[in-house]
Formats: sequence, structure tokens, C-alpha cells
Amino acid sequence: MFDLDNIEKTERYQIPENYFEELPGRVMQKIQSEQVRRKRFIMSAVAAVALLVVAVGLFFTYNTPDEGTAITQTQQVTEEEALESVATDYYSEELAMMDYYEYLQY
Amino acid sequence: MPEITDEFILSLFSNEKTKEKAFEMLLKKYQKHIYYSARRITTIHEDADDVTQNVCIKIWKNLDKFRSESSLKTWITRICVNEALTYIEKKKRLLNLDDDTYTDFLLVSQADTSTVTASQIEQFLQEEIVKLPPKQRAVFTMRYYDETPYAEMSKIFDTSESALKASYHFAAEKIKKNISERLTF
Repeated sequence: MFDLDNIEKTERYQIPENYFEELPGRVMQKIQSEQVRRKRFIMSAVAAVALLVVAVGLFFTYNTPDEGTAITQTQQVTEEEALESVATDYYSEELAMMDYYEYLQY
Repeated sequence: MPEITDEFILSLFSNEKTKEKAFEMLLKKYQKHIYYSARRITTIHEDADDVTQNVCIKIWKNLDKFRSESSLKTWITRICVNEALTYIEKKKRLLNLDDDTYTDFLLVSQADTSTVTASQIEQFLQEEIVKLPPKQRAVFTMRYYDETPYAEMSKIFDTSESALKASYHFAAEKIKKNISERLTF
């Protein structure tokens, strides 16, 4: 039977000329371009976050009610409530003054 | 000129100013080992070239995490074997080829690029190696050509030494039997 130890252990591969001379340069180029891509991505991400922060800041600046407006709203609610309560009192007093006949007509 | 030690390369790599220089040294020292490890598994030059470049980039990204639990060469070989095996699986999926068809494809590619200087018996050996499943091919070639100790191979393949010995033995027997048959015809 054929014996593996009886033949010369050589590997004969066809490799393009200067392959090993050029390989380190090609790899370094690939690494550098990947680093540039990564830096660009980080910078875009930072810019996007900064833009978002500014946008959120502007939104709250122009949409937060100032103190004057807030007081007016509180006052409006209070006035409405007061009117309502006065009206309720008025109707109940008026009804109390009426006799049954007047009440039916009312 | 004395060989640059791994420790020297690693110490230069840990410094941001000398990192690139260290990596160039590493490439010059190990590029042939990476390429041939990849070529034995992938068979085709273009595939071996892709794997070699991917391995180099992985080394660049992860070398600062290397903890010297094994030698640098073992660590690099492990990355290379994993990358080459993954590459083959991806390629088979991409081309939608089963194992047998992929082996035929490799045999045709190998015949196209085989050297005229190889003897007929060497040619047979190369063809029989290509017929092995990828992982067994990696085990066989690493043991047969490089005579890598089983203890080191165990770290590379993350497999027990006895399993690797069995894998090599079965591969060698299969190759011997097939070449013997081909020689009798």
C-alpha cells in the first residue's frame, strides 16, 4: 500500500508574483480605510446627537408657557368656578322663594 | 538578522505611537503562515487571500486583548482556522452547493491552478486532501505538513487530543487507500 511518509512533504501552490511583498500594504490600507469609515460614523453620530439636543432645547424654549400665561389660566378657571357656584346659589334661592304653582310654571 | 520576538511586537503594539509599526512587523512575520493555513483549507488562492485579509483585520482589532495564554502563533492559527471554515460554509450557502458539489468545484479549481512541477503522486495527494471535509482537511494538513503537536492543535481546534488523533488517522488511511487504488489503475 502507498505510504504517506515516502513522498516529499512539499506544497506547491500557485501564488501571484509579489503577493507577499504587497500583502502588508494592502492590509494596512484596508485597516486605515476602515478606521476612516469608523471615525466618520462616530462624527456623524455625535453631530446627530448634538442636533437632537438643540432641537429638543428649541422645542421646550418655544413651547413652555411663561409665568403670566400660567396665572391667567389659573385665574380663568377660578372665575368660571365662581360664576358657576354663584349661578347654582341663585337658582336654588330663587326656587326656594317660589311656591308650587310658580315652580311648575318655572 | 535575528528574528523579531512576539514579546517585542506585543510591547510595541501596546503603545499607540508604535502600534502600526508593530503590526507591520507581525504581518511580515506571520503572513505566510496565515496564508498557507488558509490556502490548505480553502484550496483556492482568491479565497485564501480573502481569509488572510479578514484574519489580519481581526488580529489588528483584537491583539490588545491577547492574554498570552497560548503562543501568539497558536492564537493566530486559531483565528485563521475558524475564519477559513466559516468562509467555506458561507461560500457553500451563497453558491447553494452541497458538500459533494463543492468538492468537485474545488477539484476543478485546483486542476486549473496546479503546478506543472508537481509529480503525479503529489497531484493525487492534493486531490485526496481536497476531498476531505474542511475541518478534517485542516487537521490533516496541519499535522502532516507542519507536524504541529496534538497539544497545540487541541488549543487551535478546541477539540480533545484523542479526537484529533482519530481524525488524522482516519484521514491518512482514507488518503492512502484512495491513492493506492488510483496507482494500481
